[in-house]
Amino acid sequence: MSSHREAPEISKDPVADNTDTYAFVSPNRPGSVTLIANFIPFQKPDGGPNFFEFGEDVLYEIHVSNRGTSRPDVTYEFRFHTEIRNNDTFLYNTGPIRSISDDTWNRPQYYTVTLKRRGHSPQVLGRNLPCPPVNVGPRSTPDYDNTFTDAAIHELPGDRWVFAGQRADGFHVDLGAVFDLGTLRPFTEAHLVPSASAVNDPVNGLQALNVHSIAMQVPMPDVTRNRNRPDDVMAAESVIGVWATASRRRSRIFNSSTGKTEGNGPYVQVSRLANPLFNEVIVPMARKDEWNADKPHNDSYYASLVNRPELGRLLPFLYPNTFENLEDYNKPRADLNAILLTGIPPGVIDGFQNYTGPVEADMLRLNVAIEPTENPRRLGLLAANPDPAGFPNGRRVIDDVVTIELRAIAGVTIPLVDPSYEPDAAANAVTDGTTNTNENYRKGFPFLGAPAGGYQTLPGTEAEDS
Amino acid sequence: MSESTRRGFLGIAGAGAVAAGTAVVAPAAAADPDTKAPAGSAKDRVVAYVSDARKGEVSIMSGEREVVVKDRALANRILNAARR
Repeated sequence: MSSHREAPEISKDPVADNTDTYAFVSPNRPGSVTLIANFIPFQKPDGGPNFFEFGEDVLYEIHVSNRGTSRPDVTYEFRFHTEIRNNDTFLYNTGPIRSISDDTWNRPQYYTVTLKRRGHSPQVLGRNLPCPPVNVGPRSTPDYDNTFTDAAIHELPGDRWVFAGQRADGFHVDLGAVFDLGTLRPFTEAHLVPSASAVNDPVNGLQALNVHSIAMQVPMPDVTRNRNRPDDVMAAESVIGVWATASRRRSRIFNSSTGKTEGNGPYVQVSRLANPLFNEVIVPMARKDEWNADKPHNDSYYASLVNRPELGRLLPFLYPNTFENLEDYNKPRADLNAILLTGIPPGVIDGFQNYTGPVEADMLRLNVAIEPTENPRRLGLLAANPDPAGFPNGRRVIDDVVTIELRAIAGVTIPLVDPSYEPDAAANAVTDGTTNTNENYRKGFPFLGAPAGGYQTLPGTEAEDS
Repeated sequence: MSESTRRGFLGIAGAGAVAAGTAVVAPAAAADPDTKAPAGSAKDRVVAYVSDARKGEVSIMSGEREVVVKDRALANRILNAARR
């Protein structure tokens, strides 16, 4: 979750595993859009001596569709390479790393950013851009955030900015509970299966874990259909679709003489991610791998899974007498189809739309004409006082997407398309109860907090008898 | 498949891929195992696999390119080599 180890095949290939994708109008520069793609889930910060890093053999991409086709019109491509400065040591660092270019960092990583615009030749925006080291601990990477974060933010031509490196995972969910037969700890007493050892305080399963994050901040004309800064919320050209992918070479052969794998052939997609939890809880296990390799414009193939989501049937079953109206609702979920596959068309919510046309595709849909909210509300459009700058209008790092999607699936959004439906009282209260317990989000680029340090890592939860 | 056999297979597959490229232009040349690689042939490592033996489809990868050729003779040569 939101897409950490969400499919059988990609769970064996963490370096290429998308974990979260974000797209929002930048609060620090409202004429720009921030696009973030996270990879490499569940990074235990003390996982050395070969700490986490981007894959040299993985092509990472962030795609933008702006013509309603759900095919990429703009793609930012990221390719990484690593160097070893000292071949005679096993150490990640041979002393304190006091700057991003310090020779004591034995395994620096660099990357190239390329812009691919439909109908144009690829444009290299930056080469040999240094990543920051991982957060090893106070002796190896002292004063981590102040030393490395700003140093790893690079300006690119055209008033674009980029960061690629380790960050605290900003996503939060009670993993241990939800995968234990859909337990939501705040509602554990209502669960079908009693548990004598219930711990009712929510637990953030991503607590103290890191990810690797690629963040771009680009002027709106970079990604919008008319290459401008739209100001009409109701105009189709104000909406962009965003998703991220990881690709590997089609053929890989292990070279026994070097002990390394060598790639041949074109890069083929092995992982993708837009809306949080789509592949995780919408797509059945038997189809998750093929979904990861498929393109968004083919997602009508999966539309029936959205229109009649398994989780919508599980909630009434696991929480008897709690979601009775949902249990009785037998129509296709046009609300979820709009939120996840087409965007919300004009006329459904006063003064709002993020519709990209009839092509069903899993994309984050961001209406860039909606200004950032000064005091963003974590429930976005589902907040008591709706915040149209938040999910499912794109996705900000602060958006509580687990609660938003749980409530949507529980039926809160059905009245948008079917006013005769009355949501269950529990639907407006359902949540896993977690909040971000990792490093605070940054107010500015790259928005995710500094990564947790290895030295500071504490052992996990003690085992219980039951 | 033993390591030495696997290497042999890949070596043959690579040579076959070059022949396949020739076969598209001059089919007769593909049947001649002594044909030398013409100028412009792939210089990098080449990987070939028979993706559909019945149709004679061989997928050939070099660098970041992949071409699929339909050449039953080439497919059969690779299949026969794999049985050695």
